[in-house]
Amino acid sequence: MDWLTILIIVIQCFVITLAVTTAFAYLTLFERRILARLQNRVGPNRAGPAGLLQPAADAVKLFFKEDIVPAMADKPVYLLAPAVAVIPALIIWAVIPFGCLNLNWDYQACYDPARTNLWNILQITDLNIGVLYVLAVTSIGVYGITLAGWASNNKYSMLGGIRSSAQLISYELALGCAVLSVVMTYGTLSTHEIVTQQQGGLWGIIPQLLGFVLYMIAATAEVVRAPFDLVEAEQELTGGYNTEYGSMKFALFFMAEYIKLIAVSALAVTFFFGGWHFPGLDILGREVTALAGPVAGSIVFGIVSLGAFLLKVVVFLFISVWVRASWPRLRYDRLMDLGWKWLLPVGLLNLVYTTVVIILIPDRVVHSWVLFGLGAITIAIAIGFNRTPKPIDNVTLVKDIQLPN
Amino acid sequence: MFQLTDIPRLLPEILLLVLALLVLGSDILERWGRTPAAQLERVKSSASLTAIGLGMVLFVALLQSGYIYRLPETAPVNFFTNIIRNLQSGGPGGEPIAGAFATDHLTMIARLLIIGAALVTSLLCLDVRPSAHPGEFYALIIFSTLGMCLMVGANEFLLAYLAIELTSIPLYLLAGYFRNDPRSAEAGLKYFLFGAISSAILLYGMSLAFGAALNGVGSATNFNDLTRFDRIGTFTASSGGLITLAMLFIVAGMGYKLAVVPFHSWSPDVYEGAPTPITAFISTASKAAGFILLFRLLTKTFPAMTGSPTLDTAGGWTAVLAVLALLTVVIGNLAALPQTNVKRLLAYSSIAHAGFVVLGLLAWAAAQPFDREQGLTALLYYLFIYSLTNLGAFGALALIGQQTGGDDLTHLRGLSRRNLPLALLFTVCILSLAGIPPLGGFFAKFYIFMVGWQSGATWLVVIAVVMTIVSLYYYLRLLKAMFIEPATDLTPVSLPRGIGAALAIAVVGVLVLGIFPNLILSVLERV
Amino acid sequence: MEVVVQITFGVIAVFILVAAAMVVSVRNVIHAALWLIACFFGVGALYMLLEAEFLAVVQVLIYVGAVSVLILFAIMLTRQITGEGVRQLTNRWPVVLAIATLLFATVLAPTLINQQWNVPPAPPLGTPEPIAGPAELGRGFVNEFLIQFQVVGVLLTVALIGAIVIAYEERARRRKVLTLAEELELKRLREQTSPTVPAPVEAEPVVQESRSASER
Repeated sequence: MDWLTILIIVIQCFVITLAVTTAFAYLTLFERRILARLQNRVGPNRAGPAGLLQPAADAVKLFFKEDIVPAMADKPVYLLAPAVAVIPALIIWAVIPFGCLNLNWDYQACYDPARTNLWNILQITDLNIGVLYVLAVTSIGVYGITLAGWASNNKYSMLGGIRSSAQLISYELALGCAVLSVVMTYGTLSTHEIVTQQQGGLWGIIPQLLGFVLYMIAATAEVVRAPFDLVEAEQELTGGYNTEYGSMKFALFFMAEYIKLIAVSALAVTFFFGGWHFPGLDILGREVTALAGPVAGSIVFGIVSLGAFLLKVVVFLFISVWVRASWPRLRYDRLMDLGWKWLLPVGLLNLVYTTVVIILIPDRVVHSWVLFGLGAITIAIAIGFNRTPKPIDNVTLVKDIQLPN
Repeated sequence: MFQLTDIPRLLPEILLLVLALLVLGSDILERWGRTPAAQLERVKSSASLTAIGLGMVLFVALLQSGYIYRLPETAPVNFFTNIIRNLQSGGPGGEPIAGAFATDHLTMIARLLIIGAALVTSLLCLDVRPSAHPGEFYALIIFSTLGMCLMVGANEFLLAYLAIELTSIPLYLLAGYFRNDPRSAEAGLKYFLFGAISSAILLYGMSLAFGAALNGVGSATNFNDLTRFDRIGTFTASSGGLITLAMLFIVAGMGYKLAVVPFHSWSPDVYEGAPTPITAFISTASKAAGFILLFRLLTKTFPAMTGSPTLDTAGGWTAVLAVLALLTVVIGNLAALPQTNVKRLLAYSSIAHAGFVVLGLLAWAAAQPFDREQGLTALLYYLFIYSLTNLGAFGALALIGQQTGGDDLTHLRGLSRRNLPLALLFTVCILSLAGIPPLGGFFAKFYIFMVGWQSGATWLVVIAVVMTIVSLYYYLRLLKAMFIEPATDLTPVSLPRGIGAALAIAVVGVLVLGIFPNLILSVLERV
Repeated sequence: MEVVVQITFGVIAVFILVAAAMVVSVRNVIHAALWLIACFFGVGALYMLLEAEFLAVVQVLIYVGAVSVLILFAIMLTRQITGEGVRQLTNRWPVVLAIATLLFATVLAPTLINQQWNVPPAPPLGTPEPIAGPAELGRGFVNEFLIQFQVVGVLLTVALIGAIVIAYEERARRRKVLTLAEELELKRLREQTSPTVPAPVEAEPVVQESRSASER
């Protein structure tokens, strides 16, 4: 490992961190504008043209706000919590392939599952256990929220913290099931290979329709977005776990949440929507290589693949904002019900489907569509279950009360 | 590598698993409801299913073992003989399955002992029932039995550890099953904490042994079978202190499970607090399984450091075991003397008995091969008799506790006038524990002392004999309370059918095996 | 490179030891749990150093991501066990210290010093890799370690059943939950009938505890 490789890795990390934090800043603006549109309002439009400087203004405000630590807070943990929250959100980006810009100047190497002659600078590292890494990092994301809730020494924060740990544990299982079924479909734990195997339009959503639906629900709950944002339900918990946090510490929590949102959207694209694939991408690479040589071909290929990836991510972000504007928050027991009694069993069922179908039908196209059909039927049945609310039989009605004599 | 033809060899375990799931599943189909009648029905059906199922598994295992009836080679070919032939083809013998599970005579005999003990326990549980979650209660007994069956056959560290956990976790739960009783809850928690620590120690020992073996291998071979007992024994034969350390840790970890002094402090509390049938189960089956696993571990993993029972050469596991046996016999018996609670008293008595069993293990280190075989036979015979006796004693105690409202010595007063048959059955069990001829306990003790003497551990045998005499004092105190002391309460004690049957099995077993030990010794000698 | 690995190992090992010591010595239970998490991370780093990436990630996923979260969750749900004011040591700690030191000095230390550490040479070409990656591990589970794998399954089922048995109150024994309006109504009715004896409203125990006879 010579110094150039290390330097490039360091630069990659810097660029991605900066890009992600900038993306976070503008995601807040994006969300506020779209929410405003959806609610028939105007939204922030005063700072700069069309409100484009609003994130900068917010940042300045948060930087100069007074930094308060509650007197009875557990200080080390209180200060540690924002960092613990933001670190997993940032390191998860290490394995996500944004595109494929091969520095060995050969765009075709991007399609090679053996990854020979590939030096992709649009992915920091291609671990052969990348998916597990993603799951592991998501699973430690809960600590920031939980510890913040506990360390603030505030009942609202505490409730938020407890809610978050329960919710994240519950939905982690469904998330794991959904991701594992993708892993089983492609037979690899490397994110790059998952993307390469989706070449040719047979994107992950076709064999894993059910997995995709599960993933979206579980991932939304994992990043505590509406309609699963009970952790910071304003009406019940004032601010939730970050009630006692102000200035940049608050901003770090906010940042962690939004970066995680972008990350799960990027992962959804990677797993289910072909990653950086785009119809006609290989034709483009071939033609440009023929026209202007392999260097230009690789660069164009890389930039277009990056663009395709970002476009898909933006679509997912829009959907997330749309969902937030449309759906009310779940009640807490319904949230637990959904996680444990619906998502987890369906997730396990999906694992069974995937195993059985892939073993029985070796042909990829056929088994993808069979799985698609099975998934669609299962979703239809699951939605079709009309859940009439049961009378809760451990509640005694007034008329039934028998007085102790 | 596991093969399909190995399935008959694992048949008792598979049947136990099926039975456990059946008990769990059938509970759902029972009548649910809040009325006492419905609850009682639910409990009873689970209990009877467990008892009948365990009886059937025991029958299948007996048939499979071929100890009672062996299908002759010349038998005609028909439907029934085919079933039996297929069953017996999975009987004792052959290489360990996938290198992990040995199916030799030792495993088979131990399986029979354990499933039999579970059967007697489930008979006891017909009358002493849990108040909530009945299906789970009985299923946990069966799961624990399954764990013990795997434990006695384990030939590999991973399986041994998993089997120990599979045995222990249900027992922790069962010990604390009567949550409304603070003593039971305490017993469950204490058992769990001690068990967890001892598992950790055991695991540490195992990993040290694995490391020592890896160190002994030197160059890379296939590491995957290095967890097998005999492989570790081969590769660590010339290894230094590391393997000694591993042995110490393993003996200490197993010592906790077996409740030998100085690792015994949990056992009186747990025995006292746990529901009495469960106490019976813990003190017999799990101990027997533990001893057999310890035997396998010591003889296969640490053959190079056996030492000698006469202790003329320094070191070896015999020295460790000799010290443990000495402490166990002395402290177990002496601590039993001042007890006023019968369950605690029997707990200390079973600690003391564990010390006698360790003598049998010591004999395995004897110089003569004949003495070794005798040692193992004596150990197994002792375990059989001890299990029967203790099941009987704790069974009787369960009934007494249930009907007189406690298990102190005072509650035993005048039992002979309240229910003479029960008092007599209890007496037989106690006399057998004390080692009075012609009961099984006498012959078992005699045999194990003889073997110990022959193999050279004379000083230990002398101490053990003295301590046996000491033990008479506290056993006779029980008899005095039952037969001589005046009753405070003369309401008769009934003898329900389940416990009656269990007691009858125990007492008949103790009597018959005591008078005609050859009945079982001929089987045990095959090991 | 060798030196770098040695130094890294030393740093990680010291970190693990310090974290483990903190787990048992800090008074605040939450802090102890946090040190435990740090300790788990250290173990994961050790696996990483041994080039067992799969184990390292699984260590983080299971121990840090699941087990410790549950520990924290349990601590948070339990009131009044923050551990302030709880004595860490009994009066007899010098005895324990003496015994531990003695055992360490006489048993552990000589053993470890006298042990012939036999570092295995690099394997010759063509020897099978030891199980490390997920694919080999999976194959091992269904071939060589099939029995163990199945037993693990049974064991986990038992643990699950056990957790339910401990935690789940059968509905018949559960305390009835009243809404606020009902509680007020109940209070009013109770004041009307018997103003002196406020009896708690509990579900009647349905069956007698079968051991009730043995309870003193």
